[in-house]
Amino acid sequence: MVASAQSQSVLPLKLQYSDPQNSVVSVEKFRAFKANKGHRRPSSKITDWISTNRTDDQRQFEARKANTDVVVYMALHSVGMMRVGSGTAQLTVDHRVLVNTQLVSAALRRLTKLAALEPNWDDEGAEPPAALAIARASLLLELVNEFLTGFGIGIHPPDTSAPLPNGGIQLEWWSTTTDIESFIEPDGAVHCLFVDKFPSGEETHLESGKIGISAAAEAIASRLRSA
Amino acid sequence: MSENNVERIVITRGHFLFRRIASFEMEIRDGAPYVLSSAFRRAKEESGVSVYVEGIETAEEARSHGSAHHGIAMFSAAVPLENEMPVVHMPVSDAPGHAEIMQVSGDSKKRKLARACSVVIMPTEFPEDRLRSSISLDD
Repeated sequence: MVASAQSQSVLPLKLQYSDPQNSVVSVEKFRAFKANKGHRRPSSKITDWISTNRTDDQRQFEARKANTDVVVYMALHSVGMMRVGSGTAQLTVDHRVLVNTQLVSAALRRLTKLAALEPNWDDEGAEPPAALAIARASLLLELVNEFLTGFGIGIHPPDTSAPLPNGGIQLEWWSTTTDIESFIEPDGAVHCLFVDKFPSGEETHLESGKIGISAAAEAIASRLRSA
Repeated sequence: MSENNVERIVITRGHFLFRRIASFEMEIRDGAPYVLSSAFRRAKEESGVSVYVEGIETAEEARSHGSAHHGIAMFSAAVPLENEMPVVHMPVSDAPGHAEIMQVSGDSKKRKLARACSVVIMPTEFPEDRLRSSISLDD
């Protein structure tokens, strides 16, 4: 179903996933979907769309029983490190990105699972995570790792991710000297709490206030670099 | 006296408080339970954060107001009171120890409350139970 050719550094892959009528989704539909236009409910099977070098991480995106936009969006967007080639459904995946994707796979898998939370998951009226919050959290993960890669240091997936009762997502990065709490609200707004920890047990806190996602990612990566 | 004839008390730094913690709001860090600051967020930020006053209710009684997805954390009332978060005893019919922490605004305050927590009862059911059964990622 999927053809691929492989070189040492670049792994071209063809994307092909099926709608219930088993027709191939066009690049235009794919792009429209990525742009989140229309919120089409695909109910798609994403079948065997990566047939080579399959890893546990990639398998999650096959999600045969996926029935929400969120999961499909995650599949297309969080591996959104992929770029759509012009006029074809061919995607180009940098081999390094595949490795990085494996490193953050647990975090992405958890985010995908959070997307499936039911309303009132806390028995206190909590909202399920908003699709936008999930997508933005995924993007934040990508951007943090891109900055870390740019800094020439290793990938550092978040140490935990959790739903917020209002439909947002919380991501945390931990180290011995600093903790970073980032919050993605249901409307996509991002804010962070940067924590400096001292051997005495004392902490100092810096609240970012609302901040652009790229600026947040850079600040998080910078903190992790110096931790 | 409150509506249900429970004597209202003034909560001081000497009191301890229980907070129900949903399983998603708790992690294991360095081998120990770790309460996330999300435990002190609410679906609607205009309301106070519900807690239960130790001494009026036990941890088990506080737990009984929730479900098996909840654990119970305990912390000193001094933490909110010393960080500009008043604690008001608001007994209700089935929870005489119910109180609310007010003005839990900002990420730093929530972090301070979370860091003060000691988990005294762990949840007995876990997050995966709350996932929609139609989704399987492990095929």
